[in-house]
Amino acid sequence: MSAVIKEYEGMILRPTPRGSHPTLYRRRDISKKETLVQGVRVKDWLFSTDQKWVVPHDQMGLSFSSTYQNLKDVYKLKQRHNKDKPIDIHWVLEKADIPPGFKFVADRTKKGHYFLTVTETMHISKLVKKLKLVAHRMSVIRNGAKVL
Amino acid sequence: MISYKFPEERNYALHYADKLKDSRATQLLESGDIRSEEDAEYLSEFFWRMVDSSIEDEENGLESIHTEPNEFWNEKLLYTISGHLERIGFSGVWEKVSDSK
Repeated sequence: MSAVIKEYEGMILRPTPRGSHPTLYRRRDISKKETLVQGVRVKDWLFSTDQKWVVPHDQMGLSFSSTYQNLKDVYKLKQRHNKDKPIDIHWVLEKADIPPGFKFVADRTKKGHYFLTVTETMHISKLVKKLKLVAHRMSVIRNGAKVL
Repeated sequence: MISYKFPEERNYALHYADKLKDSRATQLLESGDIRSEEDAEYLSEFFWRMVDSSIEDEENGLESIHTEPNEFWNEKLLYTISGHLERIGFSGVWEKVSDSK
């Protein structure tokens, strides 16, 4: 897997428990106390006060891994939290597979961690549409434990 | 100093240091002063013990101390702690401990 990540420069990966959506959340994926707006977790993004718009922030968005080590760490964490499900690894190419209005930005404080961010203020309905498009373009490695 | 993206991360980690009665982890988290390889190793080990303890809490029906579930805060702290250890030259220590889990 390490060699594959190196070979496909710009490969960005997101481990996700089987049955969960790779870019959106279901009510049962989050806590009862948490706010979910059309499948989007409020804490992941910078929202307007009325929670209808997502505002650009280069250190907020969906988390992805770009290095083998970071992928392994996050995978291990997801595995521990979801003992009854295999963890699949969804991936895209950083430059090729994302729609306009989105950009992958490196976490300034953690090597190998990237955020899928918005580059323009975006209505929640447009954000959801684009997140679905990203998910549609993602490839998947079923049960990543076999390759990690 | 450990740089947290959310103030809740620090509270969450300190909550588990307290719950695990781990005074050394509390001291490392409060001071953010990781001076040696031993400190780095201790903090890395503490991270995974915290994860296991938080999962045990969930299995026992205890709610997360913050709005978001424990998995969310554990992932944030994974980036924060491993990122901090990288910046101060202890990425190898984090990787060794993490790979052993």
